[in-house]
Amino acid sequence: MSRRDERVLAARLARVLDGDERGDDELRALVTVLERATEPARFELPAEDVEHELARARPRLQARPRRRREPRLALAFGAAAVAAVALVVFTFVRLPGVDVEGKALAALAGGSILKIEERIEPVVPGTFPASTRTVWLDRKRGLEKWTQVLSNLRVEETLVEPHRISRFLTAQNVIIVGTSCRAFASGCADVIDPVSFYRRALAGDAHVKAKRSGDVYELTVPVQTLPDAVRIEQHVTIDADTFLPKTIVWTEQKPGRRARAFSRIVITSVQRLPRREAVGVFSLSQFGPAKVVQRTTSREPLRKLGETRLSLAQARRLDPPLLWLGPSYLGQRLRGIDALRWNAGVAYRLRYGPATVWNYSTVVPPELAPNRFGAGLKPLPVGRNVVRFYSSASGKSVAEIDTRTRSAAVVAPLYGKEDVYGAVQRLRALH
Amino acid sequence: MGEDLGGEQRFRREQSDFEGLFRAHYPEIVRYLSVRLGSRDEAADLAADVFLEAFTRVPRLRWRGKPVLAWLYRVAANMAADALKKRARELPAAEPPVAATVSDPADRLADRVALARALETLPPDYQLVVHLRLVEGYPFAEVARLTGRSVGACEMLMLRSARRLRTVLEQEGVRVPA
Repeated sequence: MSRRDERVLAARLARVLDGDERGDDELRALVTVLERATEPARFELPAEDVEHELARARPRLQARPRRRREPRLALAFGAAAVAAVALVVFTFVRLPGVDVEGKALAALAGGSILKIEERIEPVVPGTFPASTRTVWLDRKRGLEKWTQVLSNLRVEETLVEPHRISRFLTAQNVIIVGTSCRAFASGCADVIDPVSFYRRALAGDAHVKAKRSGDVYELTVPVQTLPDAVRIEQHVTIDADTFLPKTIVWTEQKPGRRARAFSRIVITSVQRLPRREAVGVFSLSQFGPAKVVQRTTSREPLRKLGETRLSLAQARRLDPPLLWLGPSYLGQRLRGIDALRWNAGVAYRLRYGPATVWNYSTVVPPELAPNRFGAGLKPLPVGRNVVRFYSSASGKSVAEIDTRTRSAAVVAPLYGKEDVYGAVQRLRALH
Repeated sequence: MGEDLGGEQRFRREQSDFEGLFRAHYPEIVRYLSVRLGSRDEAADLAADVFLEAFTRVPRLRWRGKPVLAWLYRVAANMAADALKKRARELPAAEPPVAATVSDPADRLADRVALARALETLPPDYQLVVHLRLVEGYPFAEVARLTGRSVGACEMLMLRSARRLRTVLEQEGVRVPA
């Protein structure tokens, strides 16, 4: 076919697509191919998802300067000044042509789950025994979990969810649940995994320095830079090909003293797992009943402050919206919506006769807490999410699901697992 | 002339209203990237990065007769290319290209996967034209404006895309009735 004929055919295909021409069999077949091939890409994004993504982007936007076009003269002077500074700064700090931070961040990005194996060893041999840690990161859902093993014994397991952090201390058989890392005696540095911390620093506004050294890059991430305080930095070595971290060393430098390194984290493997292979990973995995202690950020024990009945109109105004089963479920009408206030946060209870729907984030209702973190928890994948089954403190069936803004649990004494599973799938936003 | 004035007004408005720009175009950038990357999750993440870049850069763009959306697509295409290059040289184990739903019968699901993969096999410039016309429904004149090509060139890319897709689907054994 000549080029001219091709053009004519292409123009006719365009007219068939526009509905201006019916076309012959050949053209209609091509249109069908195009329409079918693009079917999977024709999905709608709910407005609430767009708003959620926008809300997620806002903190990152605040860290970025937004400049309008400046007058040309000012721009010329500005450019000259920037070039002069850049010449000095880049000579010592940056590597021309390589966006090391961007590539390092991209190496740990993506929608799948990262499984990282770490070995934690002392910089000065004999200071403390070496241990290993297995870390799972789900950036999309804001989940992190790691298990620390010392001499083949699991000593600690930490689970970070969007609104709470739970830590299982095996020796004491206690699970501490806090609304933030400040609820833990060890503070935040110990509750955030070093790789996760490094990833957050890359994603944030930290001034990361990078330099090439053989087949690796050495990145320096400031952790604490307050004047007259101990200066803390993370020194991360990353592979120059894959941009994945290889070692992380934390250093402390007291004012007027030399910097000292205490521990070294050697990253022995980084794997990317499809979500379907990580079902059930993001829950604590103790094998027997453990005592659950909930704490506030000021490390106080959980205390109930009060209970308020909400009208449907009041409940509709809550942001983020509550998840509910509609005005009735299985013939049971919604009998009441209560806001229960604890010193660690608010939980909402929607009562449908014998069944109850809980909505919560920073505080887990005490009725659910003992077994929510218990050994009897069973996760089951649903689409890209996971439903967790367990029993309430009084032996009722519970099915719980996490959304980006809340956890919601259906609690029912009379229903079987299939029923609560069905119910949790019917949960929808109360607008 | 009136068209251009309207276009320029919209360009200026989108330069100064980031949230409006995000709400108007985030979904279509996610749809576009989901085809390029074969994963909706990764597409959502990368689309957020595109808008982060837009937040800094868009206020400094000059009006050259093209909407801000053209810039968004160009940045999205570049970022997708980088992500694919990185993916090719690093870790294995990507997620399946299409999210399976429980109700999909096996053969329909296989077809869906084959269809999504077929689109992924197209060169980036073909994909963009197909996406803008078939997924987003822009007329060819607008597709031309967004891609910086002539209408005739876009029509030609569409014809070649259709032929390639048909070949790929035939090889995959997917029946596409006319």
